[in-house]
Amino acid sequence: MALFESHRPGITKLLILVLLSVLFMALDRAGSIWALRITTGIGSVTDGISRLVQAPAQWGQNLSASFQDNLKKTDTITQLRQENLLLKGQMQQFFDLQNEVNHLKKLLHGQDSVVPNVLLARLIAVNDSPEQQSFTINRGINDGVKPGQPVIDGEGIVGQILRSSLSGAVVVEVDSRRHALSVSLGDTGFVGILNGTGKRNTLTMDRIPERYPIKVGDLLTTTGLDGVFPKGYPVARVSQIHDDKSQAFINITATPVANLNQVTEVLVLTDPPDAPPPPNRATEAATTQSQPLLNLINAGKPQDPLALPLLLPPGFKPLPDAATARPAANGKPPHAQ
Amino acid sequence: MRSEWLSIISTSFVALIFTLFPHNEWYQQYAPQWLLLTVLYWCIQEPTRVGLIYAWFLGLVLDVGTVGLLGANALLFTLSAALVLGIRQMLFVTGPMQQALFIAGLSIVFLLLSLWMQGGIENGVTVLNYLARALSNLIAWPVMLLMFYLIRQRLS
Repeated sequence: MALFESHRPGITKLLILVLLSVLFMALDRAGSIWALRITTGIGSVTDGISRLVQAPAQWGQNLSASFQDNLKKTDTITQLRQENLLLKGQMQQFFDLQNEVNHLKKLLHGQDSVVPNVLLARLIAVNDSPEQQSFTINRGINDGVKPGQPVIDGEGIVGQILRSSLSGAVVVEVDSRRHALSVSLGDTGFVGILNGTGKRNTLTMDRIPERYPIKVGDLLTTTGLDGVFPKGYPVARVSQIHDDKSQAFINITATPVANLNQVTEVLVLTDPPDAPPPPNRATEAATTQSQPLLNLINAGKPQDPLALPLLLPPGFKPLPDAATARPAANGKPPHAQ
Repeated sequence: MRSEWLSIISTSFVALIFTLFPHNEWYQQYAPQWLLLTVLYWCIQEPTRVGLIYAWFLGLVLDVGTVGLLGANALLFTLSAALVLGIRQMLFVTGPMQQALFIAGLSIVFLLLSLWMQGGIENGVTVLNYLARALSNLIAWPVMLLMFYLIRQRLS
């Protein structure tokens, strides 16, 4: 009988499985393509389960919505219609401005910016762990969602896609401990790395030179330098300033502007407009653009170290500007996993 | 034979659903580790069918499902299954409460290792908070034994 047989596992089998697990961990930490393939494969099943489990809850919501007061519904519709009209009106002006900007940009660079493609996605599961805050959305590979694409809500940046499978995708939030992105600080022009802390709604930015006038409530916006998030999206507001008198630096704590506590629907930017072109295309562009023209373009940007030697004597050390440009140049791109 | 596999796979699937269940923070923090309990139950009851490879695979699925480090849960599941299989003859004849105590003790080690791998050990309070799951495992084990007993009776 089963009771009297020993079923001690073989040591070889155990060792092989342990080694395999350790190998997977190493591959995952190194961000290998194989780890990504495995997570995509199994993720298609688990995301499918999450979707399956979430479906009844969605039906319940729809059902309760259909039983809602008719009067209230008409009210909401009227309100939404007015809001829509207002937004459309503003958009007309926006398109006009967009044309104008594109025209001016063409004169300068020879390329115009594109309005990003956005994809509406609904949250289907939350998977928080000490390591990272993340949630699953109901859009996957088939909708064009790829790892690294930015995710926003109505207010600002929520996070970026960590992995995407056939039945869903996982979004890692900006306040995760392993998340970082490049931001510029309010009107000061300082560019630095904003790190997640692993605590809800808390982001930090360290070692900002003291001479920058920072106030509580200043807005941090994306710079586009990290190649993931397009330029100009709001990320967070400064909530605390830690001024250590013994050092010439300030550390700040910021709160994300996006409503991370109650995420229900988010927008995925499936085609980030400011993402840099592939490396070979970039080098092509650099070689085809004539040097004087490049200097002319860069002359308008004071934080660009390239432009400075032209305007200043050769012995002059452009200290402040170099300091501002350095964190951006050395900053690691935002990554997760 | 067929019904055994059916019950093993269906219970594992249901356990996975319970693990990935609703996005309620409280539930996710304190719910018993359904998948681990299911695997260990089958290791004790059906060691010819459920062994290290099955445990490893389910651990991998859990890793992907909970968006953790790939392979971390797989490693811990394999080691837990190996330990349980090693002393299976003892566990098989003890009563449900002794089994539950052993499983809870095992899951404390499991949780500590898992927390350490995630780098989440910051202060005593968080660790104790995290270890509360072991207590829910302790309570869930006898309930699960009863449920599985009923399921097997129905299916066989």
